[in-house]
Amino acid sequence: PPPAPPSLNDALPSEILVQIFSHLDNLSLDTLNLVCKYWNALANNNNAWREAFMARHGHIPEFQPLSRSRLWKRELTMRENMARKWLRGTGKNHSFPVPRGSALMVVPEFAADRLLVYQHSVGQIVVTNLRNGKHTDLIWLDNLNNGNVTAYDMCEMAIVCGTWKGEVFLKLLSNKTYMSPTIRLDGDTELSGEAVAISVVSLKKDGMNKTGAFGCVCGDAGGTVTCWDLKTPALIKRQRVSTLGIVKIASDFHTAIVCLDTLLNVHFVDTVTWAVSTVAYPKPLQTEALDLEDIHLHVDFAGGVAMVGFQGDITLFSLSSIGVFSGYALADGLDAVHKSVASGYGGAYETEIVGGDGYFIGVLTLHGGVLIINTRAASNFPASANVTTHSFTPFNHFIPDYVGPDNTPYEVTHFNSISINAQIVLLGSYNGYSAIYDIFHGRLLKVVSKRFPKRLFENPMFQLFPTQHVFLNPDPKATSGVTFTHRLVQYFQYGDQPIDALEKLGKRKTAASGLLRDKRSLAYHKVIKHEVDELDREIESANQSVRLVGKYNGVEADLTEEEELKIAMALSESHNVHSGENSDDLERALQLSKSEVSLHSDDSSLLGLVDKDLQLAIALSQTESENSAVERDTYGGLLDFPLAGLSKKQLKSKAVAPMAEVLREGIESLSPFESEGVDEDLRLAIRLSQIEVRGAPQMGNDKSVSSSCNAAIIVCDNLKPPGTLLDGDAEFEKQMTEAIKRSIVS
Amino acid sequence: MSDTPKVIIVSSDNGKFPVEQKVAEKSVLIKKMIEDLAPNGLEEDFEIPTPNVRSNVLKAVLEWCEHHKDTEFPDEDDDDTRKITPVDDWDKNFLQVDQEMLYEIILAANYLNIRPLLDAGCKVVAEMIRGKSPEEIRKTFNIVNDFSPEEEAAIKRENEWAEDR
Repeated sequence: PPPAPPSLNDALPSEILVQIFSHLDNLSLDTLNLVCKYWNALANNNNAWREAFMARHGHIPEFQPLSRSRLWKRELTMRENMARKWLRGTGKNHSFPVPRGSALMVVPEFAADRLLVYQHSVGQIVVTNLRNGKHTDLIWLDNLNNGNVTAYDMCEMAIVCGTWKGEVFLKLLSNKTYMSPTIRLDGDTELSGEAVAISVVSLKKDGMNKTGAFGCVCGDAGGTVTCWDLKTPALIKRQRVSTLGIVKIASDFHTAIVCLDTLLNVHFVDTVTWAVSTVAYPKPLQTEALDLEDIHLHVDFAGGVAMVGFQGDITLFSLSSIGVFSGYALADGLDAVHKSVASGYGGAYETEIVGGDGYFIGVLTLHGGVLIINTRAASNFPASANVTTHSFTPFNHFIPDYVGPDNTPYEVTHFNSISINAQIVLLGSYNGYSAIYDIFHGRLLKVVSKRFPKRLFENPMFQLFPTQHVFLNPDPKATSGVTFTHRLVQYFQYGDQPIDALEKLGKRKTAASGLLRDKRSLAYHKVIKHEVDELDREIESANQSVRLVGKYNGVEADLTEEEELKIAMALSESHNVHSGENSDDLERALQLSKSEVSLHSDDSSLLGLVDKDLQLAIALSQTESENSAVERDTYGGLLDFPLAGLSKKQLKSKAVAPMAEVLREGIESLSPFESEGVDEDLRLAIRLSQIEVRGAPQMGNDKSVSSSCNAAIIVCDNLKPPGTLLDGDAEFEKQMTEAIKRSIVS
Repeated sequence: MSDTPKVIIVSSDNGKFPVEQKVAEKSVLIKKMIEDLAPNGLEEDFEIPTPNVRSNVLKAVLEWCEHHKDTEFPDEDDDDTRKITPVDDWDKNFLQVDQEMLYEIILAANYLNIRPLLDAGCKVVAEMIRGKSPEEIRKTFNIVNDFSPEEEAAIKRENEWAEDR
């Protein structure tokens, strides 16, 4: 045998060993602990891990940590785990439309699975369940609409609207309070004497606890600021801060109010003494800035920094030493701040934790660049008071590649919306496309929403709809988010979150049916859920093709030339896409019919298990049928169920009945010889019953098994509906006939 | 004597390796020495002793320097790029040596301050650790398990906890 190699521990010094460890992935790093005491000590050496972190993420002096831990190991581990979650392909991904309406403000409340959409023009708020897309409530704002509302702000708890007459109205929006009437907030109008339009409203709710601030500040066109505590609600203070109108405002309700006037002068109002300090904007404006969308204000109250973005300039103002500021100019002088967002509310400044804490502001520029600014970086402001002009360096600056539909004209802005958290940047593009980037390197991690169903767009071929809003779940351990494109909402989540959600659902179901008591069922549930999600998409595509074919065959008349072209294109596309899946479905059907032969088992001792599995399947399909009912409501005329009609007709047709019989027996005789086999069969059963529910929602569940067989065939059929003459039609028919023959024989 | 003066690197066992200045300066240590001792450029052959490096190791390291004499490596201070660059195929092949030699090349690269070679060496060793069980790692690197079974169990629990986070 070859001589034993020299011991690595003797051969190399510890600093080189640490360098070697820094190249390892997370899992291997855990193994190091177990090798020997020396390695264990090295692997638990915080400095060594700091090195490893720097090696992975570059020289980062201060950043926003995910873990809020003092251990670099914990931070690195958490980031790696989260990155894995994001990158994992399996997940939940669904979309639904909201009613028509304009001037939208969208607020997702992930903790309660709610989405609030404010439709300014009609004065209503649509409340939608994020998990199933069902519209749960429609909240009317009495007499508040386009005609009189001049400014508004909304959070998950409330909406505040300011009118052109200077009135301010509050409407509570939480599940418990939204039935209460709209409240007029009392202001002390003596100061201004006459009605002045409210120009800006800012609303803030700190966390979920009762001690956190919940208040609102308004600025009006006359330069007066009014502040309310919304818990009571009671007026806190009304004060004149400027001779010019207020265009942006923010407050944390215990240290300061920060507001900008139309010349972008920054006014700081101390909420203890109510003293006002004003800092002139470093680049004096010639004319008043009128387009409020172009002015960006974010305030990190705990860190004591206000960020003002306007055109090509980003300026940080210090709140602790008024008058000190620091600038950053976008590269070519032509670029401008397009969208900006702050990551959460920002807690106290903790120096002990990894990265020394941080508060990120994400800025998306018109030219598609992304700037990440850490308001708590020590280098933001000049170290000495003598320095009059100072410029800061953003935490990260990168220009992401275009992500989106292929037909985008070259000259459009690449991205339309941005959302960030401590780890990633989410950018919204067009037609539901959005992409996730690493906040440290700007590396593309994932294109998130390419599964946005095209059928939800009126004319997907020729139109671009910007994804106006994107939101990441603020929970650092969550990997979910919402995108909003042309009144279409998409909710997505990656990694193992769907399982958490299902456990929740499972618990609810347990109360009702008592079916899901043991862990085994839950495990099945997890597997099934992913399958079901996959199937959702398959069925959607099938529906689409069938519907279009119906039109193509003249079932629905009055086709315009344009429509015909669209149908033709969609047809050939879907044909290409699904030709592969045909054989899959066929194979499944064949497998089932074969199982009938091979599983003639009289082993009834295990039959209880099978029954249970089937019960589970039926329970799931019931759940799904609820969901599909919801979808029917939601989509209204958009979505029809051609499968339902077809399945009724074809039920009576020749070869279908015997096959259904065969398949039914096949399922009934399933026997859990091997646990893998059961899983497989169960999954198959679920798929079939799933198809049944989607395809023929009006059928009872008692018939589920036989009709599911039909539906399986119909799905195959529908991919090649009768009457269409496309390439490969003959071959497909041959395949079908053969399949049916074989199943009859067996 | 050739026309251009050479750098002669002397190994611990007195082996002399004359190389071009450009090749020798892949080592930041040697580069700095030349800058300090011959600020006006080399006028004659320049001898540098490396008392920690054996002849065959030095030979290998200089072979690497020769191969990479025209390679532009990422900026010395740019840790970010440096760490994510994968080991190139030639380096991988070059480092297909027994462990003793590999360790000595790493040590020499560390001593001579040749960062790209040190990184490549570290990555190759890391690759040998990756995906292995603790027992396999001990076997590969000739390490004695000095844990008691109780200690081992405690660490395993700790690891699982870290994994959950």
